[in-house]
Amino acid sequence: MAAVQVSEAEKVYILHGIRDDLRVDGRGCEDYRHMEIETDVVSNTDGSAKVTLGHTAVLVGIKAEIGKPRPMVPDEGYLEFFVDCSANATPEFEGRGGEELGTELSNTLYKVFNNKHSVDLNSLCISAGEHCWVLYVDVLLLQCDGNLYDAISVAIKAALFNTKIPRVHISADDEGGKEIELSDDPYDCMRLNVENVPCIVTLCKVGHRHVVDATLQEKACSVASLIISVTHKGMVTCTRKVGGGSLDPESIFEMTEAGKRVGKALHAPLMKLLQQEESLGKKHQKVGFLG
Amino acid sequence: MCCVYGPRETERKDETDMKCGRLTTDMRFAPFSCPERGSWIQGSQDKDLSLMLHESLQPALCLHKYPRSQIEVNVMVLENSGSVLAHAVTCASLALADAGIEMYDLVLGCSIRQDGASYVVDPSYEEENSCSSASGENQGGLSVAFLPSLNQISGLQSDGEMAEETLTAGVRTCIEGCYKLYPVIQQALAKAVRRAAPPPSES
Repeated sequence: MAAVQVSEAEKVYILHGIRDDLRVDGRGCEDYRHMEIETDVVSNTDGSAKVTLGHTAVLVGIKAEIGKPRPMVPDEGYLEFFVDCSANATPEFEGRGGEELGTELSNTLYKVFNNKHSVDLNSLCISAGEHCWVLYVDVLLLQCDGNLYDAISVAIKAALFNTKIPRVHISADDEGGKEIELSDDPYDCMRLNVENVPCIVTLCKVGHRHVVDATLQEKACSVASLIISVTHKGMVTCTRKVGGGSLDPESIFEMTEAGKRVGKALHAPLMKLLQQEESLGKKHQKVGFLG
Repeated sequence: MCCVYGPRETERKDETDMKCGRLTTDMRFAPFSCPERGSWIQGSQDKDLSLMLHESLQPALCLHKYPRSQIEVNVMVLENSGSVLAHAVTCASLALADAGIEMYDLVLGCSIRQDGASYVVDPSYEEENSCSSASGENQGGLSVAFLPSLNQISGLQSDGEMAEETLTAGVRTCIEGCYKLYPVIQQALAKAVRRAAPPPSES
């Protein structure tokens, strides 16, 4: 992650503030920054979303392609994640600098979605054992100001909500093999149910308390953080400790509880917002990248 | 199997940190270690496990005592029969102790696999990868790296879908497992040291 140099005096200042539940920009310990979400920003994709969380900006594009299902699970489709830390975000990501961070992020995403309930993979199957939909989820980091995991997970959820997979018709052709026809009608498509898609909450341990949605300065003061991904029902799909420090078991329990609370509370307004944006239909003016 | 090299001078001079040493970890699977043959080129799973290993070991090492140096930890998995990360962490901390690198405490790893209402400590490969036919909730695995005498968790990773109470109970079970493991590891280390350098005989 792009790091800022923070002086000792600044660290003490941030630490004391957090101890009294007051952060540098006036938020409480469990408040998020201002978040802006916009879907359907890239026209060449089957689904896309752009999320701006404070100064962090993330763009997710989803393309659906027909592929062969995995041999272990012939009646399911699958998702492939790829995170690209572009040099736009910080000069440290130039060339192969961002590769390490990108692999760490995509590996965590694989773990988050590695369970039966997040995405209904059976609905991605076209014909068992032969064809299935593969969703390629590509994440692009445009600007990096801390808290990448949260922004990426919200963007993925919004992009999955926005994804329109064309319907297929399977017909038998002359030799007896199967022929797949994609329907030509752009409105005849399948949507995904994103109710169970989890959202990631990052909690940074600063001093004796934890903060949600840490900026880069707060992150420089913390030794360790906990990433927890929560569904709207409160089920935890993935947890991971990052950072070079150790955590007390009691603080881990406290942080998981807080993470679950915050994560659960994040889902309802998000779904409402996505549905509201959807209902505006073609009429709403797209802000895109110039707003 | 784990090898530790160091402390040695850092190769890349521009990244030298004057105040404390650096830890590099590398974890590889031998191609014959898993039921399906893997490849020698490091896949993304290897990189992910190397990173988890690095995060679990870093809090335990007294890196400030080795300025401008680099300690390399290389783990090679010869046979993967489940619970790889937990055992790699334990193995690596034993290797570090054997190398004489100063640490705050040994790092022990323990993992469990939760399946419905029951859980298994230290799962085998089949137990780890089996999906129960009942698509119920509460299915997942959890690995914890723990420093017993300091009572601190240095690494935590969970997978699958679990309720939060199950997660907390699982972490507690892993901590208990690490406490049970601690005397065994200590004894093994003491025996090895005694064998290598026998104490002077009292005459």
